[in-house]
Amino acid sequence: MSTDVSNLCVLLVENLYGELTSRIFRFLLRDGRLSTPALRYHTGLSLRQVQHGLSVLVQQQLVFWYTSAEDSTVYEANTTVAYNLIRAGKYVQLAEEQLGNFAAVTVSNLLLLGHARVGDLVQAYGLDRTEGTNDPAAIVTQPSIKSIYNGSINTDIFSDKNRISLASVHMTLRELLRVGFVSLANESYFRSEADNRTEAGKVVPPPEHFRAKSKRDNEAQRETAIQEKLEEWKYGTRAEKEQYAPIVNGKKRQLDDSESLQAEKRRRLLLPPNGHALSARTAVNTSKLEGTNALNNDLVLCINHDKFAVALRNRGLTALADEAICKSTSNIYAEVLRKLETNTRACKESSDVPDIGDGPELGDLPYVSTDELVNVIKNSEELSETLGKVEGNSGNATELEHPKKRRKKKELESDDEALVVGDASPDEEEEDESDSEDGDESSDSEQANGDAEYSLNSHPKAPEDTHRRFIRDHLLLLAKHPHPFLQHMTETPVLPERWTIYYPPLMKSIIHHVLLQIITTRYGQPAARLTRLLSERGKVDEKNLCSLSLLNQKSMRSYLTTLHKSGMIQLQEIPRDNSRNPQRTLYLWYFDAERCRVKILQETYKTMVRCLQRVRVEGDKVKGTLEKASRTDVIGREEEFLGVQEREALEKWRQVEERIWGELGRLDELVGILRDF
Amino acid sequence: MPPSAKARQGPRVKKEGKGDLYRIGGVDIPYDPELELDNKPKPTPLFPEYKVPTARPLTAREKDQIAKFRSLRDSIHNGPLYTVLGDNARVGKSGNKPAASFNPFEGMPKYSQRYTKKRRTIPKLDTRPYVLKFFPRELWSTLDPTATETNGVIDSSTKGKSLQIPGYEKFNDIDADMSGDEGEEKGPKDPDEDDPLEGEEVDDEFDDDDDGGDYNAEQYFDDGGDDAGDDYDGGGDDGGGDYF
Repeated sequence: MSTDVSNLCVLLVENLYGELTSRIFRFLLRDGRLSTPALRYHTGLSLRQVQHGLSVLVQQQLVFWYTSAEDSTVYEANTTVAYNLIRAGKYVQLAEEQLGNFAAVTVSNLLLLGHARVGDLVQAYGLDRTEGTNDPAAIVTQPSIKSIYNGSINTDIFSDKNRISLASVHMTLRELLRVGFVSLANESYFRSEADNRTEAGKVVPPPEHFRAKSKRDNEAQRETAIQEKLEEWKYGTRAEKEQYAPIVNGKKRQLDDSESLQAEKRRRLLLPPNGHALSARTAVNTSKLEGTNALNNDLVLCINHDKFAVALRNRGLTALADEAICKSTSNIYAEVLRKLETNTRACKESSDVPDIGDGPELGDLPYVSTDELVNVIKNSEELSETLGKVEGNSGNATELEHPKKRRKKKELESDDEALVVGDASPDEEEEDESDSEDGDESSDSEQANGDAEYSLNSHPKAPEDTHRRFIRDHLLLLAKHPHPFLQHMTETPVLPERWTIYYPPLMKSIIHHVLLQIITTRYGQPAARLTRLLSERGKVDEKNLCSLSLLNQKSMRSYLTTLHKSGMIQLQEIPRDNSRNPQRTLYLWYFDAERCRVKILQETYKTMVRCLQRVRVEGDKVKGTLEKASRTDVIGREEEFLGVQEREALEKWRQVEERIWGELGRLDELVGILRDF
Repeated sequence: MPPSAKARQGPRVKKEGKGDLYRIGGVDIPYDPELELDNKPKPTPLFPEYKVPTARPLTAREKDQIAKFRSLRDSIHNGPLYTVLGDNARVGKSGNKPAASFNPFEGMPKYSQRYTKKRRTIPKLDTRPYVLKFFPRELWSTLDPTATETNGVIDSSTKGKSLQIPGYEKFNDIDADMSGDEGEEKGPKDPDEDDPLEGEEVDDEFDDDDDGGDYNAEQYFDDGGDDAGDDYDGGGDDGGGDYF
């Protein structure tokens, strides 16, 4: 953990939870795991202060704790959650966009409260579980909101919801659970990864218990058992996972299938252990809530950061698709992502799976079929307008391409026919194919392109056919983009045409793109060109690079030196003989994307730290005025009590703060791309 | 002497026939001694012209996001968990004495202090129920003095408390005061609250001042009450916010 990250986390904790908490947090980050007496010693706080501070930190899940056998408890900073504090605004916004106002309020309350019991949460809204839904007492009116100058300007999240009912609270919580923004707290969430493993090791029986042939097999079996246990703690019990499995694997999943499974799971979550058996269907479909349908009051909810990261990634991908292709394509892409989101628990989940080749395993990923999308997306007019049509026979993209590339692609094609690996030509042909097939009314005679492989595409052609074609065109566009936005799986006798996203290569290509973008803005276009050349060619000699980059040696050297100095590219020296004479040494330049990524990530953290420090400095400038504005007699009567200059200063401060936090949000997006997604 | 010196001066720098190579006594010199030095290149400027890159203006979405973050932050700050140690906090063993860190300009008790937001030096934990099983055992007594070390599920003694969510307080609380600080005053006073400047005592003093105050005797701020604002709006650029 670098200093910058820990500084950043400490600053964030301080910004939100105050000085006592951040002081403890800082020492936990600096010194690693500490027990209460040790913390007391290091921080110089009183025992009472330490205990109170730790309670807050545990409540907000900002520290892990672990009580070992000797009955001493140690605490450890949880940097993930601490970092995610910066995303709080995004979380609330995402919840609002996807699930509406009240969900946003609930998410923000959960962020405020750390973890909370359902029963307490319901009570906090002024509702009692025992009260009937239609009881007028169960409806709480919203207090009018106070002041502009105290940051309560943004009360829009409360605005429509003047009245809430028990049913709506439970509804929202269920929805949040279903989407995954909120998860059920487990004790393992409060332990660090290593401690979780230790605990799992205690629970799982010793290797002798497994009756495998050899000792090694025993160990292996135990290892899998431990992994299972960890998984179980993280995502719920085994029974739940079993029901989850078909969805995750995407083998036999149909739309209805997944729905019912979801409902099944939800029902189990929602019902108290002794609850009446309610059919899964009704659990989904009943929009109005009966008593049995409510969440069990003893469930403890907390924010699920992993799922929010997935949602943020989807948002980022949609934005990128918009930037790279066009708005309506990105809309369709957003739809695909939304479909797949349900089955994605965490961003990095699939990367644990040892390298899925782009072979038939691709089918194991969750997928969306074209038909599902066609059903979801309604208006096709806009879609048709955004894609240009190729006239006549010139639609064969392979002809327009570089001969070398074409050859390469042909090889690829012959390698695996069924699967399209985000490459241009097969898709292109397919697109033409689909055009010629579906678009009879457009009377393009493209039979020349006819290919036996694709004539499988013989779905019932209803009036919505053109609609389907447009959507397909957009999807193909996505699949053949240099960033492999989508993976296309053609129709098989059993399965319909499907689309999936294989994240590792996609994220890799996006990271590369982002790195190059940063290099371009920092060091100029030629520097970016050099970097791109290096990443394509591997290690290149200076002379070669000179001829490849079409730059004269002098200017090329200046670019290379700047890049090298800032750590974007590296230099390798290979002596030709033992003397290590510089003149007899080869100098090879190369670009290590991973190293560059880490470098830029660290720089980003540093920038974020600087931003937060700047916020504080700017705040100190208007400290007196801020204090005055927060006085209880001033709140609500700013016009009367604050002078013109003071009001101006406050307004200016608000703008400055907004800009800095906006910048932080953007930097966080960058961190998301480089680290989390 | 002179002839020898002259002889030494003469062939000191010699241009050889080939290229622009200069030599002194057969040794190459790396610069051109006959170079015109009048229009020599200037050193690179210390502070070159630099175009400060400016960020794109924030989009509506980003602004919304920040607004949400701020409102969340404000509710955390107004909530029971936010703490400010401040200058008066005793940190470290020796601890600086309050008198040493006293600010004679800002630190004097003022009437308006009565309205300032009271910051906690220690989080107030007894406002809400906790799920004790998620806390280490050693913190249970901190969270809830009545907690029994049974199973970690809330026992009945804590049931009386309920979560406070800003905006959803009970009616009477809202009517009384919206600041949320009132709740603190109403609640049981913390026994070892160790902040010398805070608390009711200061307020009481001011109340006394208010009743038979010596400031009022001076009649300097005679129409202090309602016209204070106007007074302030008129000229007040000195003295910050202290009007009486």
